[in-house]
Amino acid sequence: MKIQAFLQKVLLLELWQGMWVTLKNQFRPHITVEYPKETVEFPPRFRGVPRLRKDPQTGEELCVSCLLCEAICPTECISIVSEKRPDGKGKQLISFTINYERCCFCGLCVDPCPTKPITAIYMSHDYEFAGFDRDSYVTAREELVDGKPVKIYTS
Amino acid sequence: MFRTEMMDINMGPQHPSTHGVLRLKLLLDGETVTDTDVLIGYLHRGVEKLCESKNYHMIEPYTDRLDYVAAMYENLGYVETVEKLMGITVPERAEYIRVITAELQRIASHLVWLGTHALDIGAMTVFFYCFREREILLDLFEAFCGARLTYNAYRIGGLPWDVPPGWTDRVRHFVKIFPGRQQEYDTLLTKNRIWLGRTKGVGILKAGDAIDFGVSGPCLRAAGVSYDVRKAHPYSVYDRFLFDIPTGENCDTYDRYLVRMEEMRQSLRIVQQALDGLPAGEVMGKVPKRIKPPVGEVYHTVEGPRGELGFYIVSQGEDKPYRMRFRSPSFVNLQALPHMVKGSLVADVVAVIGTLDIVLGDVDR
Amino acid sequence: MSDEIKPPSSPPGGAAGPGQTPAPPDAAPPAATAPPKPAAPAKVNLTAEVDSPVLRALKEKFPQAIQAVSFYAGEVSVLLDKDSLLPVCRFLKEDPALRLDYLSNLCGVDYPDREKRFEVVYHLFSISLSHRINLKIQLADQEPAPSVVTIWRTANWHEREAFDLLGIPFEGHPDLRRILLADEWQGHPLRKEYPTRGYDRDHMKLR
Ligand code: SF4
Ligand code: SF4
Repeated sequence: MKIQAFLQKVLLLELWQGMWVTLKNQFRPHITVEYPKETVEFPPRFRGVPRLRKDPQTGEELCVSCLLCEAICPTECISIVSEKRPDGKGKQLISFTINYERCCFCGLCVDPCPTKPITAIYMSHDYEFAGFDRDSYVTAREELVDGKPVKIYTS
Repeated sequence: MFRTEMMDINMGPQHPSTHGVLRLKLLLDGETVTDTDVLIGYLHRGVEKLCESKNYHMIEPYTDRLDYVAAMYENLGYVETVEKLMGITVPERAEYIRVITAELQRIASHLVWLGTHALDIGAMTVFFYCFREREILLDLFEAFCGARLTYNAYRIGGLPWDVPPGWTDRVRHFVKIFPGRQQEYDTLLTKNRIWLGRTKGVGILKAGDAIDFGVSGPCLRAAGVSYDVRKAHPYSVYDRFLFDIPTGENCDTYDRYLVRMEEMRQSLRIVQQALDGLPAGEVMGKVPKRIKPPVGEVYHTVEGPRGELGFYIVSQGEDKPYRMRFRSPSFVNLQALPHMVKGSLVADVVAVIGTLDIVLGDVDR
Repeated sequence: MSDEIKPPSSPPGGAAGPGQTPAPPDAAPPAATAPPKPAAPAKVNLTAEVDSPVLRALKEKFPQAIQAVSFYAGEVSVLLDKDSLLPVCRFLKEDPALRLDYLSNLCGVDYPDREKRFEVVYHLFSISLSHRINLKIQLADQEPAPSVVTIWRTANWHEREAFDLLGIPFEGHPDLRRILLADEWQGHPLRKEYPTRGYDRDHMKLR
């Protein structure tokens, strides 16, 4: 017993044990990603900023200006202006803005949207929105549909 | 001999060990703490006031931001309170999924606690190990509801979505691998001489004092009181699962560590049972489009990772709550801090803050 | 908005009138005014009376202190006379058959339309016996409430918070000062007349 303890001390066995753990972990695959160059993969339900979309088949406007999303938004960041359609059926959008500065990514606006199953407003996978002035966060309808251009700050 | 002078030392609001913006005014005699004044409110956002001007749907995202380390529980407690207020029954499947996600959240929250607590005391490695497993959990939550911290995952009356395909298998996989991972933390800490020295006998809170101070959760159970809302007032479907309430004996920081470690194992047990018993069916119950509870008031509690999480809603028959009060466990538990650190060393204050497991968003609301 | 289903017996909002009628559930108007077809969610009778050992003991011991009793979703709320709060609390905590040793929550509610505008609610719980009761007292503006810190130490911060956010003074509190807001803060935000966005907050105008 004593010899064993002695050998353990002389041969620094415990140190090597620790080193072995370090060595093992050296060769494990990385779980981090080099962010600006590559990004992680998102699950389909990922909630980025809310955006608008058109009918993917016909290319028509989906939003029927029911204002339900505006009513439920807890931060009051959606504002919609609409008018009666000239043919008298329903309403059409004049403007639809979301203030991304205040959006809290809660996803509540998608729930009541009546144009099921493809809701007019949806949580996109966009999230890269660093900017220098606040006004650039007030996003108008065109940008909501086409997506905001992503500024690349790194080279 | 030497003459000592009492000295006021300010700790925080920006201090890495206070887990947020907590300020302590310590009155020191040498290195011994003789009195503590806890100053909070640096993160006060007036959520209770805000809720009075929001309708019942809109409040849920606000509850996320209270205890952002365990937002699932804030959601759960809130929706259950409104359901109780209106007498809504929730479909079985939704209840089971709620239990699964909530218990996973408890594990995730305890992992944050373990990692940061160990980091405060000086064990760096545990932090990385814990966050490795928490990452798996956050990925699961992200796949389930689309967010990693502020979930907004439930709705009044059920769930907005069913679980995504393949999700339950991923949870099963986690349940399988996690005991092995927990073994690693055990090896690193449970018999670690430094860990024992820093936690044994530190921050003693006896059962009588704990109850008097309103302390709940693992801090109360470590004092030997087996009080758990999940057993005392089973909410959701908790009465169908077998699990134990771990309790401690020595009322110190080390026992609180053991209790929380055991709680993670028990949570895993609940998740396993819920997965096995997961019924098929709808996930959204019958709920009116506009939530308008009748006149009345309800106080409902759930067992969060930090303790008893209470919600008090007064309804006047409008679509907004008349008064909303969050009884946050961190706020109440923090009150016991001056009592726990009295007579101990400054370095132990750090350990005691860690063991109370406070989240300042929850304290200040 | 589309098909709104009204829950039964929801009288027009606002406080339940001045004076008595403290607890809303009991004060609900008779069922005659309720819609004949109750909405789907409210199959259970939420305001049904429940049997509570604590209430029985209270009725026996302090019959004159109880001003009103209300039930909601299985919870019992007792409106007490302000002056008898401390003896009642002490009795509830110390009686071996009740042992309500855990003050779960304490908070104030503001009803500006009532004669006595503030209501302080105490949610009590017994850890060993697992029963609950809610106590309430009513206070006029600036009328001090008796502090229960001597009975449950946890009341300390709860009372400070009620003082901070609602401006209810607590008599006998050892250290009554603001807790969440800054010491020089003006007003009490949870009062109904306090605007949600605060006074003089022009620089914080939201866009
Ligand atoms: S995600 Fe939430 S905050 Fe953002 S626009 Fe939708 S409802 Fe409003
Ligand atoms: S809820 Fe949908 S359809 Fe209605 S206004 Fe919003 S985006 Fe348009």
